[in-house]
Amino acid sequence: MTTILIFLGLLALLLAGVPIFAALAATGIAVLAFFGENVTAIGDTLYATMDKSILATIPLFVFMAQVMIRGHVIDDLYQFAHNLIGHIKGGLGVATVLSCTIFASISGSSVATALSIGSSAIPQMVKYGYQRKSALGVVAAGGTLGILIPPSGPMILYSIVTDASIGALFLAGLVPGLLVALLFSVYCVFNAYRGKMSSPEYPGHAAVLKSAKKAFWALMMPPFVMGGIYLGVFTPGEAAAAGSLYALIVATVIYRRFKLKELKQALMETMQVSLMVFAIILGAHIFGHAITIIRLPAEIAEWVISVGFSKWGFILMVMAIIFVMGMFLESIAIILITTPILLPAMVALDIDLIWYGVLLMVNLELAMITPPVGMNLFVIKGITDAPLSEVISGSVPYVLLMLAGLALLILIPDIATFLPYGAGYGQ
Amino acid sequence: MIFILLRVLPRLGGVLSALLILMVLALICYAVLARYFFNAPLPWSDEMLGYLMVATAFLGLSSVLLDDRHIAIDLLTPLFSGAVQKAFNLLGYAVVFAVAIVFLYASWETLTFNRNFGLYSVGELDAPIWVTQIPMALGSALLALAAATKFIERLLNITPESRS
Amino acid sequence: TETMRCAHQFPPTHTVAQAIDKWAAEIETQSKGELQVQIYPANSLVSAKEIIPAVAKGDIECGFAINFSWGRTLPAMLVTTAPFAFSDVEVWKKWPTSDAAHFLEQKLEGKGLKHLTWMFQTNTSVFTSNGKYLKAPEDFNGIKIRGLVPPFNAGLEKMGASPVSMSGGEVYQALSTGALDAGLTDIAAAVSRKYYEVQDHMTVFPIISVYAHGFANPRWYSNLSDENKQVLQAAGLMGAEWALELSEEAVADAPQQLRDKGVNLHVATAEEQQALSDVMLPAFKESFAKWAGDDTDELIKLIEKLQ
Ligand code: NA
Ligand code: NA
Repeated sequence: MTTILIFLGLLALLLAGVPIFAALAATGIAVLAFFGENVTAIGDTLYATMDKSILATIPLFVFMAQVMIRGHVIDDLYQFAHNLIGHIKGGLGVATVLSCTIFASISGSSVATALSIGSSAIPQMVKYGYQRKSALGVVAAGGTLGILIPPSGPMILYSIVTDASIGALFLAGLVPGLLVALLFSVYCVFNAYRGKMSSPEYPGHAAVLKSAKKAFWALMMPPFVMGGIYLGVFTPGEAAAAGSLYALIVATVIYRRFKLKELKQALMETMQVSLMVFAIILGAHIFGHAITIIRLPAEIAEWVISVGFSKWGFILMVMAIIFVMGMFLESIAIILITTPILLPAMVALDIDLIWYGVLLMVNLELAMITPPVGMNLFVIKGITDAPLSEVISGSVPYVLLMLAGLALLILIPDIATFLPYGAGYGQ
Repeated sequence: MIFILLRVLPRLGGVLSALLILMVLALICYAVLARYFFNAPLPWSDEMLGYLMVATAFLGLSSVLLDDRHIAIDLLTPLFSGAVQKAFNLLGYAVVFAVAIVFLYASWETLTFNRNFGLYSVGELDAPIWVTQIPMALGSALLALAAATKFIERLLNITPESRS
Repeated sequence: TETMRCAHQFPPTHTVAQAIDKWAAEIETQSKGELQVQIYPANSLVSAKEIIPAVAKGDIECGFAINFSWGRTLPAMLVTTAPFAFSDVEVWKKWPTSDAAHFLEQKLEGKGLKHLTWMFQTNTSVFTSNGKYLKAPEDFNGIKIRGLVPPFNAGLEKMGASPVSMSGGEVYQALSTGALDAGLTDIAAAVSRKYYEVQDHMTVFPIISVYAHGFANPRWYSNLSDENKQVLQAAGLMGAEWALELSEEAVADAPQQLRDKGVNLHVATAEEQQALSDVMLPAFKESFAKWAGDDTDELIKLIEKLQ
């Protein structure tokens, strides 16, 4: 009963449009006060939440992506993909997915991915006869790859909550991310054979080579950052810093499109984006502290054990709940609210935390394109001024494809786990 | 005039926070250099990053609020009339204000307690913890200030255009 | 009934966590349910760094800390990181009722915390490395190793090593990729954290002792009935014994488990221990004196009496 009241209170504040961090914090504070706990205890919680060096990875990955966007390095990436495969049937769609995939491995964020690819890709697709809604859908969905293909801000958050290795999580997201990208590409080609879209002429090897040269430094970025982590040159935090430095050098010295003004903009935008995330982290931790002290997670774990859930039953139930939450809530909040509550039960059922982390990420990708609240839907609406309904209907096929991907990952956990465990990460 | 003043301080917090991110970048790059090129890893960088993250997170909260960029769910609110929307907005700022005041109070109690208790960090920096908690109190105070400013501006229908 | 919420940092399978669970059950039995103990393991309620102030303030009733998490806040607690000063496990059997323990309990009271139980974790450490053993001081020259507390790090630096600060979760990967050349860990953790997958040489040294200890908020404690205070006293002593037993079991099996995994395991001889101690101990003492002030002299005398 108490549990229901707490969540209803939180929901009411959220639906009234109160900023998520404040709604979470206010609910947590109210719970503490109601149960006669010491409200000043949140001082320790606030401090402990942020006093973590690993959190530095979040602003640094955001900064890296910001520099790449503001240095217009992304335009070259898209141009290269466009020249390379634009001419095959459905190729413009595939080129969009491909550039989303590459940018996803530069950016830790799905919104950044959709934002930076969308403005170049959508007009091209529409020009060559793609139905506008399919063009909107492919970018909205392709953008979500940002959190599954490493690096990924949400994975960093998940690893902080569960203590699972970031390196292992990043590696675990790679194959599923490519798999989802493949599903999207196949769908684009399939769609092209049904529809009336045309393709641009093949611009010739020379043009492909030229655009490849232009995009070279941007293309080198993912191997530099991720390779650095897996060869042990960098910790994830250091990779983010080295990647930022790399992006700065590429944008200023090589592309010469990045001046002091752009640096200032990139830095302020990085601060704002990071702080939106940090604020929610703070709010979620206060909420989490409050419900932990009234033993909600422990009771859920006891309940799960007493009901006698199997691992699979539990995973299916949790995935369904998170899918529904994902329709209304924003992904950072979902990770931070659900993970601490479910963790004791997951430990009791011996659920692999790396595998679950990847399932969670795919589910959160879905959340970004399911109505009514989907960040990528809003982003695409924002940059095209298309009606939201059109973006939503364009995204529907991709929701189904991602659900298929999620089912595959649930049935065959190895798709996610063989790389990290093969590479020697302990559990 | 007063509104300009109320807005300057929270903005300053945002600028500080952005500069701290640049400092974090510099510190990590320096630590990597020290490790690989001078074979002299910095034993204090990890600890320092923690303190920098605390300061970064709290000092900038107010600036993000001034720009209304804290993530909220605007699912139902657009369905209502202007007056109701205004009430929802005011509620939002009021909740942020209340939360900020509790943050400020809790931060202040925590840092004065840790000061009297004599709590030090375990790492190489030997830092008195309360000092590293000052940005937490400061940032919460700025957040309260920014929330109050936004509340009043919305109440009196002051927009950025009408102000300047 | 009184509810006693206890936070600690150990994962549920850790020997100290198991001892804490037994201790909690003992308290509930002995108090006939009047004292209800709720354990929050693995930083689930309060994170390791915040446990001490959280209990002192009374946000929760009870908590556990590892001795070196006290740092300069209560440096006397770090005394067992003095290289080789506590290598004899017999010291630990006598410890809970000793004058030395009593000295620390009073120090704790001075800080505003009521001592509850001593839970020994380990005094058997391993230096892990690749390609060669780390057994003589010169072996440490130029290597990057995960550091501990500043006075102990001073000893490592004296041998020419570079201590690196790193959070626990990153150590495995850092070792596997060479970002760290060497690790120092208790021998049971070398098994449980699978360090044998990434390090092929290990040298066993009884170089430091690690213990956890439980404490309560004094205002909460003083409101307990005399019977319940006695229950906590008795259970505290039993908990200390359990922790020691569980740790000895884990330590006993570890060398063979590591050898089975293909690790070259060397148990340092008395001479090798002495050689390391000769270099590290003076550096430790110098650094520790700067930190701790003079009251640790008395503690060291009390500890010598135990040996
Ligand atoms: Na990514
Ligand atoms: Na959604």
